[in-house]
Amino acid sequence: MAVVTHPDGRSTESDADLIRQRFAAVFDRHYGHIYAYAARRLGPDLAEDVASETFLVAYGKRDTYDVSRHDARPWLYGIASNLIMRHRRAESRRYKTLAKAGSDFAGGQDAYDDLVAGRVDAMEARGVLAAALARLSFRDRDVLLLVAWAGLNQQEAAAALDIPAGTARSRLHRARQEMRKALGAETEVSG
Amino acid sequence: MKDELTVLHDAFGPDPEPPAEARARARSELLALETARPPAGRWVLRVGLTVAVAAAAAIGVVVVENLGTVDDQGRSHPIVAGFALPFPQPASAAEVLENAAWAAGQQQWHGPRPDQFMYNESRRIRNDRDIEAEHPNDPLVPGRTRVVLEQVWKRVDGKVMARTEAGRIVTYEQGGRMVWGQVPYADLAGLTTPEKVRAWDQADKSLGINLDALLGQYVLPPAVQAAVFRTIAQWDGVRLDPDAINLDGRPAIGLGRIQEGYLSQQLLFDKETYALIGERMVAIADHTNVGDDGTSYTKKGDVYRQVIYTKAVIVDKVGDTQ
Repeated sequence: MAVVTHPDGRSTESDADLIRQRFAAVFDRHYGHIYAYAARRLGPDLAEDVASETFLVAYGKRDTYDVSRHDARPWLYGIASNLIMRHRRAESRRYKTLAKAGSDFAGGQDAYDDLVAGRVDAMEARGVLAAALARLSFRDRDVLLLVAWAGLNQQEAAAALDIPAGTARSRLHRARQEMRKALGAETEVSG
Repeated sequence: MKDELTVLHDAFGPDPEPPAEARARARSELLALETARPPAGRWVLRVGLTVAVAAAAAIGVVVVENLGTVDDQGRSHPIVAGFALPFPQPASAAEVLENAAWAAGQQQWHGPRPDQFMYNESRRIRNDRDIEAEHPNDPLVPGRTRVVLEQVWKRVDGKVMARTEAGRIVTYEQGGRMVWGQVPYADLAGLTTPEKVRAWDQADKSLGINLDALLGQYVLPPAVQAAVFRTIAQWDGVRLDPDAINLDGRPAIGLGRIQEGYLSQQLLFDKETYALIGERMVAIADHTNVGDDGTSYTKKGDVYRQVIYTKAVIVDKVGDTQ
C-alpha cells in the first residue's frame, strides 16, 4: 500500500488507495480545496455546485483512475476545471465586477513595485489582476489558476487538463506575461 | 520579492471556506450515490439481544460490542462480521444531523387528513419478565432479554388512539375517564425551522414532551423532522459516537447527550441513509446512586433503554401498518 506522510509525521493511505475502496475519504480530504478553488473563480454559490458535482463525477469515473498517481488532486482539479468551463461567462463577469471594484488602482511600474512590496492593498491588486484574468483565454487561465490558486505545479496542471506538458508550459508562460503586463512589469519571467 | 503568481494568489485573499451545510449536502449527495442500489425487498429487522458495551469515557464514546442479533420472528443471527463501509465516519455530530436533516427533507410528503392516523412501530429490548418483575429499573442484562413489538396509532385530530397490548389492538377514545395528551398536529406541522422548533421547545408545554420523543412518537412532516435535527445540532454537548453501533445487524451512528454525568441518551441513525432508526440510553461511567429506597450501582457500559423505530407512516385506520 502506498503511504503518504504528512508534514506532522502522520502516515495515511494515499488517494489512490482510497479512491476505489473508501471514496468518501477522498471527499473529506479534498472537498475544501476544490470548493475554495471554485469559489475563487466563480464565487460561493456556483462553487457549491461545482465542488459537489466534481466529486459526483469523480465517483462515477473512479474505476478509470490511474492508481499509479497517488495524489488525486490533479485529477479532481481537472474535473473541476471542466465544470468551471461551463460557467466561463459567469467567471468573466465576476472578474469584470472585481476589476470595477478595484478600478481606482492607478497601475504602472510604481504601482507594481508597491504591490510586490506589499504596500498596495488587496482590493487594488485584485482589481488589476481581475481585469487581466477577464482578458485571458480560458485555456491560458485554466493553467495559470491551477498553478497560482490550486497550488499545482506545471506538470500537475498539465495532467489535470490532460494536455502535453509543453502546451501547459507555453500557456502558463503566456498567462504569466499577461499578469505582469497588467501589473506594469514587462520583465520576462522564466517558464 | 513576490513574483506575479504570488501576487495573484495573495491579492484574492485566503482560500474561502465552504459552509458546513454545503459540505454536508455535498457529502450526502455523494453518499446517496455510493449507497444507491436496487431495492432489495423487505428489510428484515434484526434486533440486538445480548448487549455488551465498552465505553471510552474520556471522550464520552460508547461502543457496542458482541451483539448477537435476532430478526423480528425471534430467530437469532450472528453479528455481521467484517462489515466494511465505503465511506469514513462523519467528523462531527453537527455533520450527522445536517445529513439526517437533508435526507429527511428529501422524502415525499402529503399532509394527513384529520381522520387519518399516525402509525409508529418500534421494537424495544426489555429484560426477561422475571428480571423485570424483580428489578424493574435495572439495565438490560446480556443474554436475558426479549424483543417487544410496540405499535401505536394516534388519530391526527387527537380523538382516537390505539396500541397493541398483549398481542391485541386496544382502541381508546378521548372523553369521560379516558384522556391523554397529544401535541396538536397543526402545531407540529408549523415547526419548519430551527427557530420555530426552539421556540416551541422552550415554551411551557403541559405535555412535557421533549424533542427526542417527538421524533419517535409522532409522524413528522419531512421539513419538521429536518428542522428538529438542525435544532438538536445546535444543542450543547451533543457528541458523536465515532464507532459503528451494531444495533440491528447493520452499523449505525449514535449521537448522545450526557445526562446526570454518567448516562448518554443517544439517537441512532442509519449509517447509509441517515434515517433515524432508534434511540438508547447507555452508561458512560460507573455510578453509585444512594437513595432512601436503597443504593444502586451502575457500571460503565450498562444499557438502560434500546429501541429501534421500524415504521412511522400515515395510515387510514387502526390496524393498518402501511
